[in-house]
Amino acid sequence: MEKAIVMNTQKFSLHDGGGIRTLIFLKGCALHCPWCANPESQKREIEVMRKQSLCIQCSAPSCQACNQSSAFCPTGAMAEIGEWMDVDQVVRIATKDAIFYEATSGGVTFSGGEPMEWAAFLREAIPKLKAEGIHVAVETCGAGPLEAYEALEQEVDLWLFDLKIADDQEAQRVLGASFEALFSRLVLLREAQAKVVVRIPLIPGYTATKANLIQIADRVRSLHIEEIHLLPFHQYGEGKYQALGREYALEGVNPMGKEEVESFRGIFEERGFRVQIGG
Amino acid sequence: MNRFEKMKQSLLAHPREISIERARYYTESYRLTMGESVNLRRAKATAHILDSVEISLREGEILAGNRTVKPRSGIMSPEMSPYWIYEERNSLGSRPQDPFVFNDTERKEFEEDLYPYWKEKSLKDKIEDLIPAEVQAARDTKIVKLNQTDKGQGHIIPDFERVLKLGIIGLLEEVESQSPQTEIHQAMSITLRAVSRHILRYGEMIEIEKTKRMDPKRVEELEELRHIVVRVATEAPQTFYEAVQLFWFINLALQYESNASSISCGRFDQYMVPYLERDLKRGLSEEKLKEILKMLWIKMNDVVLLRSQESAKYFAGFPTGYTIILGGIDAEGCDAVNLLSEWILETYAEIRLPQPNLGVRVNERTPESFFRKTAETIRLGTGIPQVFNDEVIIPGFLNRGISLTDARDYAVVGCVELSLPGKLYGLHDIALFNLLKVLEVVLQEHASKITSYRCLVDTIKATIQTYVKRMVEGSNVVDGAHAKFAPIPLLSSLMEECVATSRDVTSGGMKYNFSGVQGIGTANLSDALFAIKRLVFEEKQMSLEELQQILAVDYQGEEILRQRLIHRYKKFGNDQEEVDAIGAEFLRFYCEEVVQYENTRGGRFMPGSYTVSAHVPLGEAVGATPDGRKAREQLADGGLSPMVGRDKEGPTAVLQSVSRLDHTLLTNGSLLNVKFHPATLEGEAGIKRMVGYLKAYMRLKIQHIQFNIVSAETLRAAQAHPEKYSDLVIRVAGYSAIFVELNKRIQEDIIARTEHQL
Repeated sequence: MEKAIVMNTQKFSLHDGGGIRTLIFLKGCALHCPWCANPESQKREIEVMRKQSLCIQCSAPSCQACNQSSAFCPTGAMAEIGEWMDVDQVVRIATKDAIFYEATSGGVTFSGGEPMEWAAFLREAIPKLKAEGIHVAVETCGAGPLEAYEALEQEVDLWLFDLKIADDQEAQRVLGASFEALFSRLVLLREAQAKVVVRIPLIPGYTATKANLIQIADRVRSLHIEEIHLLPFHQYGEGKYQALGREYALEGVNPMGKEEVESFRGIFEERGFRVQIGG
Repeated sequence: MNRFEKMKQSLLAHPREISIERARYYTESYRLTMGESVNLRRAKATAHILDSVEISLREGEILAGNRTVKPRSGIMSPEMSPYWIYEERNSLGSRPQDPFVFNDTERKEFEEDLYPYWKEKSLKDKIEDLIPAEVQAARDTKIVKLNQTDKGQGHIIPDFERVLKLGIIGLLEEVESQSPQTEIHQAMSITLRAVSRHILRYGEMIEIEKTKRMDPKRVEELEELRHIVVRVATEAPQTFYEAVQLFWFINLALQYESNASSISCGRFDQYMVPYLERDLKRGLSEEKLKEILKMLWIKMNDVVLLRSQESAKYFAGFPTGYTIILGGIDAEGCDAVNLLSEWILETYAEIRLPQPNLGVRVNERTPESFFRKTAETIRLGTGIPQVFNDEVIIPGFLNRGISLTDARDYAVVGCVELSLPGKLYGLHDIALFNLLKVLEVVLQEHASKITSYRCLVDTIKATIQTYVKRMVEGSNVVDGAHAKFAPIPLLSSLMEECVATSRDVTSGGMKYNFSGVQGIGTANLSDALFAIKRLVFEEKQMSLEELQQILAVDYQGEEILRQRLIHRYKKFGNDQEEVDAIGAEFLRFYCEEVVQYENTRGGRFMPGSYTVSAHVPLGEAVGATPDGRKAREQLADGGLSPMVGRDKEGPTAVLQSVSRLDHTLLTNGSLLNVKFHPATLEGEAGIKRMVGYLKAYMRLKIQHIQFNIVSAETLRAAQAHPEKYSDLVIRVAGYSAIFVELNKRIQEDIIARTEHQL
């Protein structure tokens, strides 16, 4: 049976696919977006996070300075992020709330990291969920292997496809991948007539420029995709960088104001997209 | 400001006072009836009150009937117990929870006249004399708490359908045509005739009021009201207006009789809708009919209960229990939602006060539109309506020998107590059983001798058995004392079975006679036992005795252990079968113990699990426990809710865990609190989500659920600026209350209950 590093599972998620959903976050991502709100999802390995807010200073003046193991930590301030789970373990968690999925047209969403980097795992897990009648969504940025998309294009009910920076060179520099390469997965899915919603994070100084968004809009339009979700920048990830002991490129940047978000919405509506703000 | 907004404001503007009138006239009558039977004395006392209390009509009112001249005044029943009033007479106006001003003249009258008269003669005296020593010992451990030793029983739904169909004249005819005529019938007849006279007094007063008015519109209104009042003083109502007016007068009269909590309204939408439909057919305007409803909702908030300081801890915010249940299914099993069910939710949304305490019955046949309307009303954030599940409650009643037709007609009294209108006297709140306290006592007495987890479980079960038996004995003493010393002839006269069998409600006159006893602390017990199982018996980190010693000193010097117990061991409420199964096992055991016993009215004991706000005082009675809970900290709220702050997996996991408990067994009622952040329910998506969540709740066979939809920020702001939030209504437990009228401790409890969002 396949295994994957599961970063976290989140029940009662109201985003990322509709209805009440369970989100399964798989750890590891080929991209290194500087704004990533889940930096603990990037490395394909189990790592330790230190959350000062939970620390009761039982063994050291602060969580960062603590020499105890995460197994000792009484409150979970210092905790291992990620756990190897096999397909059946994940399926068991993912089917727990089936009664809620049914009542609200919800389901299960695989997210990450980049879940498509765990293609073999998904190929085993998703049919098991489908057999239980569960709606399955996958959130991807296109960074998984091409054959993985080919294998899953018919199995997945909804693809949440993130696009970020349309300029190829800029994408290489900032994200660590070519836009064309990422976009080719989207093309593949659309050719297979898979249901896709494109999602664009609005990040000041990176993605949230008129030129970038117009470029993305035009490329997506050519694929006859109808729905776009714009995800305004927020600072919920800030504390996590600290907890991981990492630098954060967007420290102190203000969350995006409503007006600015609305102006970006216009770009897409003018081009005939149905636009939703937030996931 | 419209008429109702004005009335609502003036209702909340006055400081609450105590009105001594009821106590005065009751006592006056009792002095004159010495030597007569208790049935007649009680009937005559009620009649004297009805003939003597000052009556009033407030500005703008279109329904008559005020229990007290000043709004929201407390009335007293020293015949039940004069002691707490005497002890608290000087602090009632300043106590932290539910203060009432006791003015000097009336306080003096109480001290000098009423207290000396009732001292050593009250129901409380009689009960305490009869309590056996071992029951008293069980009370002293705080495992068992007996209720209703010092107040009227209430907790019943009169047969309002019958009342409206017959009118007072018809009720009297039924009583007086029974043969042979008994003293019980005579008592009923005395009270019914007094109700009729009482209503006629209103007719005369309105006539006088009318002459003082210049505004022709108001004069016309008063003339209509007078006409209606005079009619319903004897005749059966023909119109919706008349039906509501009679309904309200009967409610007030029942208050004078017993001053008891939760003489509830039952399925108001079912028995009132024929009148409404007839009026609509006759061409009456929808607006006018809705105004009558809104007026009634306001009036239901005018009646508040004066409780002792101790009782106010358990039932903070003076809930009266004008509980109305909407929807459900009819006698044939078809969907029973009607036009009035919807109107009630709509008109409530305009008034938004703690009463009526609305509940909605849902089942697989409930229309989507009614689910939506329910979700929209819940979203308003007042905690109303609460939701009850036909899919588990009806089978539960069948399992207790109730007929299918009767079970389908269930309704709710008080907070969440399951009852049958006009057919069931359930003594729903006769006792509380503190399951977590059992664990503490077991550890204190047996820790050194318990060598395995199984042994611990068995010892706890044996202890539950012992104390359930004592609780039953104690409850039966209280039950018997009410029958002997506090019959309620007026209430009994409204019940067909009581009239036909010539028996009072308190003496087994109802078709079904239960006694309801609550098992409290399931979540804490699950968490504590799971922690012991792991820490002591599997990981062998310490012996049970060592753990007990740490608990005995309230974790002093062991904060690391306490934190580990809180954070590193699974807890009830997170969809973890291992933990949830412990709670399920003990709750089932408790239920099966309880139903073996009979009460004094030929019925059985019924298990329930709801705390109202009792989880705070019940927690005060329990020392530190192995779930990381410190001594005197509250227990899990509600009854079935997870411990505050320990449910980390969100509201779907809460339902999954709670559904592992067998709700079919909890035939006395149960309670589950869930708190959502308002953002969760925003927009159309929010309504759909709530509808779906409710359907999942229904399919998971959970009995009851209620919601608080208000953000912690709003509640904090209300604490800081109570003057700006004088009408912020929130859910306490099984009932709603005005947030700023709750004491700090309960406010904090409500804020702390995990708020689920996104």
